[in-house]
Amino acid sequence: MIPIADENPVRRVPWVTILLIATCVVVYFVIQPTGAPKFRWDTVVERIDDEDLRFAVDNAAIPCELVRGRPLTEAEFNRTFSRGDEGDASACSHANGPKHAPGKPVFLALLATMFLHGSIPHLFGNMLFLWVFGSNLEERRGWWRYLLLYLVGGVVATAAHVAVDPNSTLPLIGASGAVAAVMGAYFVLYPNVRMKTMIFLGPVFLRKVQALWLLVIWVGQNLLLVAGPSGIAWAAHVGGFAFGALIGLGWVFGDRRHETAPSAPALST
Amino acid sequence: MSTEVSANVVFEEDLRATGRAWGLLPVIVVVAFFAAAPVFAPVAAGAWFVNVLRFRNTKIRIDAERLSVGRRSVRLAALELSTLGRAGNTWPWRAFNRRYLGANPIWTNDSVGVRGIDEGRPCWVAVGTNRRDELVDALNGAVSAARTRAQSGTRSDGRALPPPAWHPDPWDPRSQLRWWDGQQWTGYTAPRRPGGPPPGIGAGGNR
Repeated sequence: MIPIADENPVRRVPWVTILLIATCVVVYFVIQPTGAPKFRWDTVVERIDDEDLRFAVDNAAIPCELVRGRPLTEAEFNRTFSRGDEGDASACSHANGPKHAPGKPVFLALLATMFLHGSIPHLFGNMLFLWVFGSNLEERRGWWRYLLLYLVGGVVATAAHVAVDPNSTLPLIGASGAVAAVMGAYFVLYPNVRMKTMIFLGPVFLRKVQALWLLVIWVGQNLLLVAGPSGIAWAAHVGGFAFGALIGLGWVFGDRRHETAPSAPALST
Repeated sequence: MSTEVSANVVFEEDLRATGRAWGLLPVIVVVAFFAAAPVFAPVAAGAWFVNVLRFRNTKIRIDAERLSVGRRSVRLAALELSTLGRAGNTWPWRAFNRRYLGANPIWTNDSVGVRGIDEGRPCWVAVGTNRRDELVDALNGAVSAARTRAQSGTRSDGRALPPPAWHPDPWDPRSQLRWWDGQQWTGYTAPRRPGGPPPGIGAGGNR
């Protein structure tokens, strides 16, 4: 199910959402080596080549690096990537040695990773969800709270991925964790808004679906990924979504408390 | 979108895709192409045209007595204004229920949903609209007026309504009777027996 718009129009231009989308697009097409047009017409997910791989390992968050607090060693890198698909994706070890990218700021990569994408469909999908769900949140909660939700949500999502697979030596790229946080907050704030949705069940259906059901199904789809090696960071999605929903709940209860606060007593003279 | 309204009609909206609605077609094709797979782009465009055909003749119309959506209609007095909100997703099989008035094309900006009890059974309205405020105002006014008329026992043309009695069921006049409570048809029915006494509501009626 892919939402393309909602029945929840915004009255102000969502500048931060536009800025985030523009940043991801510029990073993908101008900075990432992947930016050259290499879209494969026969499949959604591209395989990354050597140059892309090097860029991702040098800049993206990697669970093993975050847990150990240092860049991958050459040994870990070679065990993971030298044999293509046959490599060991959990090659993290306690052994020290020469680093593959010695100057890499591993914790700064937490932020960098949410602006990197693996393919045009990956980028397009994330930006579409960010546009549909983010613009309303930005208008309702203000730009800085929204930006904070996005950035902290992305970090929390990566932390959730690390918690589930701490020995992984594969880079985690994409804004989907941060976007999931935005979706979680939207889920709490606008559960009854109807989304104009494309439903893919072999044939394609165009229906308006309540945000509540759309997002419950989206989380359910991610939980189904727990069972198999899909290559999709389901824990980052679920963790980001849960974080966003918690923040959304905080906003809702904060608003209610504000609304029900007693008015100041009259001054006696 | 038609704005021509006859004297007895207080609201009318054509739900077919016109003008700005077509702007959604390229969006759907591009989203299917990139976010799903290129092969889905023509399939999604096909789904769009299925929607266009499905709603090409669908109109929302409110007159003095009834709300009509396409070929189905419901008495205005049966609608409960306290349930007035936005359209929700219903169970798929409800689409076959003649008391479900659903038409919510993907291109409309907003929606209206309202429920009620018509002839003793639940009815639902879930429609898309580009003129929600007007539709809500029209519903509020027309439903209130229809209820006032029903309570005073008069039709919209001022004539008195018939007294409570068993009558041939308007939906199945040959085989059963239905109880008219003086203001509206109820859910009480009874088999129609030539020459037999009319049943009492509590004893022979079926809900």
